[in-house]
Amino acid sequence: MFGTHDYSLSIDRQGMRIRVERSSGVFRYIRETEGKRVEKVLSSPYARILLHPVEPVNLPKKLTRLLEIEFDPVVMGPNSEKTFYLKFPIEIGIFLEEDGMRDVIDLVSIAPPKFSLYGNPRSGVITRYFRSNTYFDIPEVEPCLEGVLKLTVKNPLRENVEVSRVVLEGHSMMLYFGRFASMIAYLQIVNSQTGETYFMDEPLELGMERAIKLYKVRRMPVAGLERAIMIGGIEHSVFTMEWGLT
Amino acid sequence: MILDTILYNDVTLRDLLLVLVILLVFAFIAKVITLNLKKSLIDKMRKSELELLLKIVNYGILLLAVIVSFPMLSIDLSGLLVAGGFGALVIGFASQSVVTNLVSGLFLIIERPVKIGDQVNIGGVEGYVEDIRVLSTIMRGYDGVYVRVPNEKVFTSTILNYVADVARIFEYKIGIAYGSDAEKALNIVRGVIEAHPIALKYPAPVVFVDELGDSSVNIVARIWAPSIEWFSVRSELLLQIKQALDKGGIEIPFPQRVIWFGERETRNAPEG
Repeated sequence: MFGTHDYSLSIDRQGMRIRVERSSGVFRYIRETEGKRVEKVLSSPYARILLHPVEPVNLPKKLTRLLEIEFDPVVMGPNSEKTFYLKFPIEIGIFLEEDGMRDVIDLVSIAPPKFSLYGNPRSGVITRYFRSNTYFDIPEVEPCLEGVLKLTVKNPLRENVEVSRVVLEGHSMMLYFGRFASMIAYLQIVNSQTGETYFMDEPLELGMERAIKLYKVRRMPVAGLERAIMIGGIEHSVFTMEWGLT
Repeated sequence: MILDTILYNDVTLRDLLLVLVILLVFAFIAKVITLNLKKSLIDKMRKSELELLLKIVNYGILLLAVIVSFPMLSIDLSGLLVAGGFGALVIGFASQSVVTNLVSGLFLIIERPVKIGDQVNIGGVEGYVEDIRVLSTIMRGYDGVYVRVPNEKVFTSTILNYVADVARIFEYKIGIAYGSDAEKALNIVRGVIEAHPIALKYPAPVVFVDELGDSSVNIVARIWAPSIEWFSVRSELLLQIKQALDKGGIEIPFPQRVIWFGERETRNAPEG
């Protein structure tokens, strides 16, 4: 499903239908989901259509840059590190590419959206919320609905810390795709109530391709996004979860 | 010494140089203050108003330098000061409300209880903040009417800012018929709220039977929503709840009274 297509594109999965039709000498991009239809005329007959997973913080409205995943609690022992897998909701970006130029023409998701508040009503942040089970092997997912997040939690403290929530900064996401969409992130526990999350720019499986980023990372004063760290000579933006890990 | 050379009256070269130094120092202080003011207020004020304020501050400090240093040059400013004092008194009385609004505006710019675009209630005036100027705050009422509120009133009024916080709560009171299944109604309402994407997952909505009223069993639903979206959520959700309750066979009754008649004792009619 993800990847590069020509105008013979036709996808029909989980109630989502995407195709290109030709009528009256004109190519039309058509997307139908849950009774809603989007139709756009494509002026160029030679463009390619790219379907890539994008940062899942755009639909149904751009209310936040943050993705919050709640999962089955994991108790991290003192001085421990644990890797497990979570699912995250997928948003699909449909891009038109021609002569090296790429523009997004549609964003679609069939994952039911939900928002939440992380923190208190005065100074907290609105997040895109998702509930996932905790997996210790790569789970099976429906590629147009969910992706796989490999999360490594590091607890440098000398005490047990329970973790059942991770908040990730959407604009820093490094998405890859192959048979499904994936990303790799770390949660560094700072204290029993605070952690820092950041992404690694690596595919989860060999052969995965880097997805187009909708957003370039800028050093903007987003609540919690205050700093960056260097790992392997590469700068990684860090989001600080300051209102709890559960 | 050359510095003791008298230029005129009792004014020496030293005095002249001292005056120049004082003027330079005050000019430097004025520059530093205006630069810092500009840096801190540049995104809080319109450019034209900021330029005006900076000029007032700059020339005010330079005027102070002149007042401090000119007596050293045997220039008697006392007459000017007396006249200026009278003038200031007259102008002060005439423009006290303008000055009050100006000062209030500056404090509002520093404190920022409201921002452009906020939905607010300022001393009973409800609407959206369109512009914040030095002398007044411009609002647009819900009916689209332009409202100019003097900053003195804004500063001294109780301000309700409906969007200052990230999230806010709103409440529905829903009355269902006594004959309807209350638990089913609660589950239906909870389901509708859960399905709405922007009704927040956390803090979790609260739905409960609040009162056994005269005409209905009253359910209360308290729901959190992002402050910038609360009105659209509040508008959409109630209709969805009504439709879901209708579909679930839950009656929302009109106000009603049930009247019971007691049995009458019958009496034998007198004969004749």
